[in-house]
Amino acid sequence: MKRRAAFEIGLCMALVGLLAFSGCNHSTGTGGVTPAVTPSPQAALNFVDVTAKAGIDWKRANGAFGKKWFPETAGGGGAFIDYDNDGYPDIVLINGDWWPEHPFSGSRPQLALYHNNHDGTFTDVTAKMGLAFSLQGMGVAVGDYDNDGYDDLYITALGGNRLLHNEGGKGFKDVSTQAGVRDSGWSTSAAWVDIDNDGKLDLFVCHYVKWTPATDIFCGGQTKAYCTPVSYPGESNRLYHNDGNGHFTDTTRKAGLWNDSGKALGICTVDYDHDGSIDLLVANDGEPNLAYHNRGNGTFEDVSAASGLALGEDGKPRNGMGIDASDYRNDGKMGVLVGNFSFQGVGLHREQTGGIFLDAAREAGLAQPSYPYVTFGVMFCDVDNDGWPDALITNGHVDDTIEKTSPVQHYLQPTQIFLNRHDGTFADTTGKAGPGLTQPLVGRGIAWGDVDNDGRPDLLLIPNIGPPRLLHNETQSANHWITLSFTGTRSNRDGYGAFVRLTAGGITQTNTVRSGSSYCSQSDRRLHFGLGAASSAVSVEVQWPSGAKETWHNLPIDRESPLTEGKAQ
Amino acid sequence: MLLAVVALLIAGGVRLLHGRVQPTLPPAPSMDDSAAVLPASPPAPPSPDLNKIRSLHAATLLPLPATDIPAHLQAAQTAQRLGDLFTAKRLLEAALKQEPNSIPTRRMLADLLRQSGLFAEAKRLALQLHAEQPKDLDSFVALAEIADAENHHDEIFDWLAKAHTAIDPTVENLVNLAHHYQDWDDFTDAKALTAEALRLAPGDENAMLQRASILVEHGEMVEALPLLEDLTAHHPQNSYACRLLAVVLTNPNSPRQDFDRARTLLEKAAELNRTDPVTYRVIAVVYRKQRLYRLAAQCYDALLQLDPNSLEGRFGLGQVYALLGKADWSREQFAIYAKLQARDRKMPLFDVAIRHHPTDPRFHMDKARYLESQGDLTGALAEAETAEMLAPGSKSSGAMKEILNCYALLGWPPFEKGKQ
Repeated sequence: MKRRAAFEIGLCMALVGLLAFSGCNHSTGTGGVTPAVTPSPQAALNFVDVTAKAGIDWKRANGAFGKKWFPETAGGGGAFIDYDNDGYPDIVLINGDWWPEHPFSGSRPQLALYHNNHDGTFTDVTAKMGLAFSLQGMGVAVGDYDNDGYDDLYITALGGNRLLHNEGGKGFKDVSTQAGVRDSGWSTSAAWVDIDNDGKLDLFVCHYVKWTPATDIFCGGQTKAYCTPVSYPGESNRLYHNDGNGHFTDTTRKAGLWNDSGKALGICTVDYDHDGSIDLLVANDGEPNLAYHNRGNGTFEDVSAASGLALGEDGKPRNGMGIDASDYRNDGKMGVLVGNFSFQGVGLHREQTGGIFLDAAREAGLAQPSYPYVTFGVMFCDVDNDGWPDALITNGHVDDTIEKTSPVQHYLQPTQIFLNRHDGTFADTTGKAGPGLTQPLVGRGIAWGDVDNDGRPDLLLIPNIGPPRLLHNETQSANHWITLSFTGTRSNRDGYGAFVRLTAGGITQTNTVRSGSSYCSQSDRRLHFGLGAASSAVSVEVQWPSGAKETWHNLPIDRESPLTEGKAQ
Repeated sequence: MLLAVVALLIAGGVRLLHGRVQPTLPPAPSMDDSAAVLPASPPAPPSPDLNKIRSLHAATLLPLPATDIPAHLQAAQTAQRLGDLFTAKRLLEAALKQEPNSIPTRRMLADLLRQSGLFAEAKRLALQLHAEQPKDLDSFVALAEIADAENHHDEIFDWLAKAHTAIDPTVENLVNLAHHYQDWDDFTDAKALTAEALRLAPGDENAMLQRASILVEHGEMVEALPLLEDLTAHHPQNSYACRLLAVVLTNPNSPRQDFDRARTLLEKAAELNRTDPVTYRVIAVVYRKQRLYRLAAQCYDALLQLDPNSLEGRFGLGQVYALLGKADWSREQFAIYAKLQARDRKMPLFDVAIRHHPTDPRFHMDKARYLESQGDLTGALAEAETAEMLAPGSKSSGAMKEILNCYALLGWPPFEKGKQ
């Protein structure tokens, strides 16, 4: 289809580039755009690829067979889940599938569940745990929806999702239909979230676009390319309210969340205004991002525009993929990180006064290095334990033949870690974060989990196609840390939604226990805090979703502390 | 009834023909941001100029001298812009009665027929024109556009390739053909054609600009930068070249970045072309980046004078007002943005459906009803008339009822059935 009038030319792509520009290194004059950078000592990151050594031999398939069907570009995700409560995070990986019209030879792609053996290796327990099935999988959310003490799985897909109940750590049972969350259409990221603080986890499911092989359309020039989402109508996200009896009710419309023009790929559940109710931030692909303020009564107010989160600095929607939020300046204000398409750069929407967010990605030094890449997974994680959340993004183009048509883009792209400089800016470590991060991949999901409980967050990268990467964090530093695990009693058992304030070494860090974030993936549900040089015990204040506030004093450092609601000293 | 119409139009906004006031120019580069004057009140929500729409339409209904073909074509063009495809078609057919072989008239008619989903008739006429003018680029492009509308993708590039072989290889032809390739996302052929044009006429202004735009769109800033430097040095009055160079100078992929120079170039582009909304949009962002928020506000204001429906303008102004501490003004602009965005956000659904089923009147009627509900009456009329053309007299489509309704809401003289 023809696109536009003459001399609007060049702007679709270039104007966003203008806005993505980081002034940190190139500002030439009057603007005051150069942030005051205070270099701080930072550990040399050392991530080592231990995938093969750990015994993980799974590969992701996207079913591509030459017709360039849109869903082939989108998956996939993975998660850390301690399904058997042995204290060590296990790994679940979501696969794509062959198209019925075009099966390949060999074994059909399936999900995978790897059990952590506590010695750096993992055992494939997929079949044993009842997960040996195939679907056009996208993402996964981990949460104990029935408060039985075992985390369950919700798998999103094209053509129907799966709720897999954890049967006491012995296996998973598909309860999607009786629970009423089979869903349909094309789901992407999902998150467990207690939207009404009733102690039961509800389920938010992102939906992307309406697509079937029959409605696939031709995009591109002389040869077919993968379409952009603008070619297809969107689907509304879904909110399933947990009825408490194993069943969920679709309350999307009642909650004020129905929006069939959104094309959602990422969901972040945080209480950005600290009013005690979890809000929803949704990254949309080619449509304005969504910000829903929780009114505290099970309904939401759309504050997308008024918050400034909807669009990029140029007032145009970008191609949002993954999303995460963090108090990355340790000043109590939120920064929302959104992965975008190539030539847009990531967005870092920083909270100002009055509930308005402005994109500070260029000032923070994130926009320019991410500019050439298609960023899917994004997350904050303090990988060097200095007490300041770092920004991690994983990139990969959608078109496997992009090199043929573009001289400046590549299908395989690097995963990037930006170390927090403690002044609102980040240092780009691309290519310098250890041997595990030197090889590009078709990046999609990213998650952190401390697989050996050594206090250094390890990384899981899930590509669109090919093997995942488990990156062991072998960074040497004298920094201290603490990991906190949460058990709700009046609140949901996972403690999702608990707002945590930790003070150590004169710095107060905040974070929220939550599901979702990143892209189609979920990290370790424990909270990890780097403590830098702070070597004394720490205090932790927790505001539980039930409304209860508790403070734990003198928690020991360099270890995990379990925090149970109602059990503070 | 009239009050209801006005209320509806104010609520939704007619997207066509808002009063085009000459915008205030951004201040000169040397001006201090703190001295920039903000308006006494923020820009109001878009309000359509209903009277202007009515008078323009009335002009299309006036009797014209039968032999004045240009007047017929101009009136047809206006009618088409106002969504009144039947009047446009009638005017073109009247012109053809006088001059049956008129190429511009037949070309316009073919275009109108294509836009109305009458592909067979459009193609027959376009092929006729092509047979008469086998070296004419526009004939090839018309056929490619019909193929595109019919979702016959391969045919598009067949026609463009045939055009390349058949047309006289003039600079103008090559540049125009390059533009069409670019618009159909074929950057390789587009670039090759501009290279061919520049071999014929090194330094040609249009060929350089076309090539630069292709390079910029394709992310090839290294090659685009010297080309645009050369172009602006030799043609300093070309506002598009100034704007494009400014965009390159602020792009992360560019080998050289210079925001101050970009700002100067954009201010010059705004001086040269006071009615280009894109320039105001870009310069506002540059000002914001340099924390010159009052200047940025002035540019967004100018942008909104040109296009009161601009989502970018409303959103940008909302942000800038917030940065200037004008919370109430900011909320007001964000609220207008949200209304405009809500109005627009379903449009892709209708467009995609029509793209898949271009000759099915039901999908045009779905869009027509939605546009009417949003106050875009001329847009609704165009879709309803398309539906009626596709299925004349069909009661099930409801097209005629919608046409009559739009006419009434627009305050036009009653539509005369049977004259379409």
